[in-house]
Amino acid sequence: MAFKPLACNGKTAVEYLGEKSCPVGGDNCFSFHFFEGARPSQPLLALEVWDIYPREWPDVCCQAYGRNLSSPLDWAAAALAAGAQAIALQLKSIDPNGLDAGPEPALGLVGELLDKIDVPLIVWGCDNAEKDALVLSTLAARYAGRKLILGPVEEANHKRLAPLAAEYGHTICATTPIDVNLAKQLNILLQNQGVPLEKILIDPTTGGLGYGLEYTYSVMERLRIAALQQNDQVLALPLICHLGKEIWKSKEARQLREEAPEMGEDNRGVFMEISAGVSLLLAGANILVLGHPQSLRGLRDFIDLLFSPAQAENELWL
Amino acid sequence: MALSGIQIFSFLPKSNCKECGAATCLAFAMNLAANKVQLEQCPHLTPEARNSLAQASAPPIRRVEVGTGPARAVLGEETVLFRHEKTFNHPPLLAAGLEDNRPDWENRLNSWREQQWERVGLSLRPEMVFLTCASQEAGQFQAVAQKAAELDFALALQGSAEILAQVLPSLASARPLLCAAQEDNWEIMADLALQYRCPLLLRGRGTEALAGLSGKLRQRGGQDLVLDAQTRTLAQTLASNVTLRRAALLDKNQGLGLPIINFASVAGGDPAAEVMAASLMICKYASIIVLSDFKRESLFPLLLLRLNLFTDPQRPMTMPQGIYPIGNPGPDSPVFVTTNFSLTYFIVNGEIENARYPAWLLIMDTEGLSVLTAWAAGKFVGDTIGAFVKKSGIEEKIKHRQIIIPGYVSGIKSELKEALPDWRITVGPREASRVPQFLREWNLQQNDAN
Amino acid sequence: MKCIGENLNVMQKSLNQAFQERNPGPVQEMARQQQRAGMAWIDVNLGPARKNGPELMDWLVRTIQEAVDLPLSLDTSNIEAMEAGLAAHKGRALINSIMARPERYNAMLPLVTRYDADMIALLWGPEGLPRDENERAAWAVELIYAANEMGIDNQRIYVDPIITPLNIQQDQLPAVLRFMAMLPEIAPGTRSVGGLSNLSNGTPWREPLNQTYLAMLKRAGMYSAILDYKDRLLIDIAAGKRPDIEQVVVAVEDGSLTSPQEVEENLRVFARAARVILGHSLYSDSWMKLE
Repeated sequence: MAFKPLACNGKTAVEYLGEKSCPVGGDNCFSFHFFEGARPSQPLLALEVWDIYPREWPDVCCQAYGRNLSSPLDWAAAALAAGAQAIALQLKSIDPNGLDAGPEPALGLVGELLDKIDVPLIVWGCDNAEKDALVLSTLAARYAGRKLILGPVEEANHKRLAPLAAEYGHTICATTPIDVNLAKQLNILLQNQGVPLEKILIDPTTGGLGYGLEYTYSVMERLRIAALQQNDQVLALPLICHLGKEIWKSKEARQLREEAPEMGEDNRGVFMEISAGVSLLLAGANILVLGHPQSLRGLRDFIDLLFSPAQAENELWL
Repeated sequence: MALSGIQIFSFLPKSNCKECGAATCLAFAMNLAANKVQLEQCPHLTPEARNSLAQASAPPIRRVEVGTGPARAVLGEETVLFRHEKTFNHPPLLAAGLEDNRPDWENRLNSWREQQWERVGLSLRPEMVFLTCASQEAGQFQAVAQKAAELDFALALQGSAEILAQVLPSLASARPLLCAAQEDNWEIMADLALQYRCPLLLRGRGTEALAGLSGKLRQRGGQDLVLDAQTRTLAQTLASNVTLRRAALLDKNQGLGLPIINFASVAGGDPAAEVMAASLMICKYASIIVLSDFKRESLFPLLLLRLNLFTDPQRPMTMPQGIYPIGNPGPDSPVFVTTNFSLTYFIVNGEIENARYPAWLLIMDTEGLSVLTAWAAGKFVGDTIGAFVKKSGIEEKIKHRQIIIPGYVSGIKSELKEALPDWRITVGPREASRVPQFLREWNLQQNDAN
Repeated sequence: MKCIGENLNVMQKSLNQAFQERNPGPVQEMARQQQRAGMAWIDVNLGPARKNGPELMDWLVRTIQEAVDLPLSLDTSNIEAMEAGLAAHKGRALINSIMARPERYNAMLPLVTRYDADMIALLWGPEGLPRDENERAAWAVELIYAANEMGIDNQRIYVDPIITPLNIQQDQLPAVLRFMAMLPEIAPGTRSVGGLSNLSNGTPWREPLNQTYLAMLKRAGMYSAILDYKDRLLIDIAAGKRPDIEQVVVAVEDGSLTSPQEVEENLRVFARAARVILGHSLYSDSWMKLE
């Protein structure tokens, strides 16, 4: 049977992350559709590391590391040992609804992390536009040229953050609320502020499994269609999904067998993270930020399975 | 080829007999074009018209039914590659494999039946057993199948033609999927399927082989087929499923326009591998997914993913009307009210959680409309909200009488005040993202007031 | 194309105040302006009108028809208010609107015959908004049949296929155009109408988007549109006075124009608008001035 590839005239930009210039993107076909195109770089799997002791994190996640997580540096080292290809530092301490710390502790911690790890460092704020602008812009200036990945950058704070990030060579996560038109708009606004497209990652905002995941899934598919089939340059950029925090805040992932026997064993949360992760990878995610190291191993296996060659054999199914 | 309603109308008797349930033949034609009714519902079609219409109006992926009664399920009828283009119509069945000579088969079946959850008013459960005759004894095979059917599972029955011929007289009424026709036995299997009016699994290695077999079977009169492309890796499964879906939708290839079965064990036997394989199959086009077992911790995530992806994007999920406590609220905690569009709920709920300020969230049934649309449609206005608040039972949970309405409907404040004279009506922010700040300020005011 | 002015609306703050105070001045002034702008009807939109709906509608109809000699399109979901407006109306009123939901049309169709009115058949069905042209056709046929059974001729029925916001449901905009092509066959003699402004809701490009889509609807055979009477260019396009704009839109629809750069600068915005409406490119506020 004559297999007809889907016509794609576009290609997503390759971006180089971190001081070791780790490549992501460069796809000219839908996710894992190797039978009709190429995906030169594998999706990157990152693990969360918190800047404070993770009191609110589920025990299942804490125990996976088998150690005290009060030191973010130790935590990052353990995450790397578990196979993380990037570290996603969560600046929980700066949340105005929590500790409301200033930029100083984060400044120190980011410096130490940069010296200690050699994978891309994602620094994630507290989802408060004003506070994030203050802290992330301080970090951007202090670590000029160290190629941080800073987010979330929203329409509300992009004017304060974007010019600094661009000037100092950092990458920006452009976050919009599950909306293709707004995703396109923010990228244009960032360009207007002098940010080159290849320094922008699209963060479509991730819905949890059972909590709106389908909206994210379809927005990502539409963004990939715009990039690949409509050759929309502004949207032909890698996608990043903050999955871990959405999974692990849900009751269904956190419940323990002893309190809710009908939910089965306590690795259910890991399976939720894997299942949602697979769907986001298929929708086009280039970077997934995960919580549990076992989810990372599972999704690593998944990516390896789909990247495995044996193309000759595959032709039977085309 | 999809026909327009007018094209379909030209085939109909135009007698407006109403026996199909529609008021006119034109209405029936339009409903058929919109996929809301089946051709069979028209009792007065001439055989010629029926044939031409069935040919011409056939969905690109054939509708195949398995199971009966509570276990009845519809496969196929998908019309898009990406769910946002319209919707995915029929969620894939989750099946567990079972060999009939397992000593613990009865326990397994019973434990599988218990795996069921309620969510947003829906019941989530797996629906199929893929039963293999390993005993080579028709009696044993039939006993296990009978039990599975009694527990409301749809059946796939895998065995030799001889065994199937022995059990079908008593099992055919459950409309099992017969497994499987392949190159060396397709004639006898096709005849069994036709005789007992059961759907048939078609097994061929690769697309070419499937197309050939499917052509032969269709010539013999077999129509209700399910495809097994016998992939050996997850990469092959993705390639195969995508190829088959495109062949059906883009090339209108009727021989391949059939539901697909996948086996999750293709990614390896451990539970995590099955979860990822099955997740891929849910996203990319399987109609039946066979797992090696149902285990609560791995089944539940798959049921959630399936629920999410098979939601109609143009008919958003709604939340049941009611009181939603967020973060252990007490009698002094603030009360918000909004509509039951699930995304509205998730976003407002998330922002209140984000603020780490316990609150009551009242979700009112507005047929899934968002705040402004519900207001414009007269569903989220002063007197309807007032009536809902009174009967919601919130008054027994709180000491104060103060309610926060979405900023977009600030205009209803005075109407609502009339409906709730004892209450203070506060206009909240327009955008949910301002809720945390709003709550901080609200908190300060409360402290001042005390 | 015939135009129905949308602006007499309870959502307009200043007017709403006049409504509440029963102050005829601002209401009559706007009615006269709409007449001068060439509106064939004036839409009187009370929204849900939960409070004093009937009395307010009665007052509005009398007040407006004192000032202008135009039929009105009565727009409220409150059935008693609708009836009060019909009773007060001189000439043939247009009922805006009757939904394709049995409980709504069974209650409202009798008003059409009782008051010898015309009606807008709104294709909002039992399951909400229509999802494609086929669902529109199915609901249209059901509602029109019910109207015919009551003795209402097709000429009295204005089918509204529902225009949705570009930034929420872009794919329904081409679906409306496809439905317009089906309508003469499935319901010969009916007229059609669309609430145009909803298209551009929430965008800073309201006028060019409305103007472009109006040109598409006109080409697709739409009979009338509910629109902003203050948009002079829009009224000109409806009247066929801007063939240059229509030409650009046609060229994008037919695929002969793919790059807005190929047309003169003052027409580019229409080419861009046509591309986003048809789904050739994703919309964004700033993108409208790029490319």
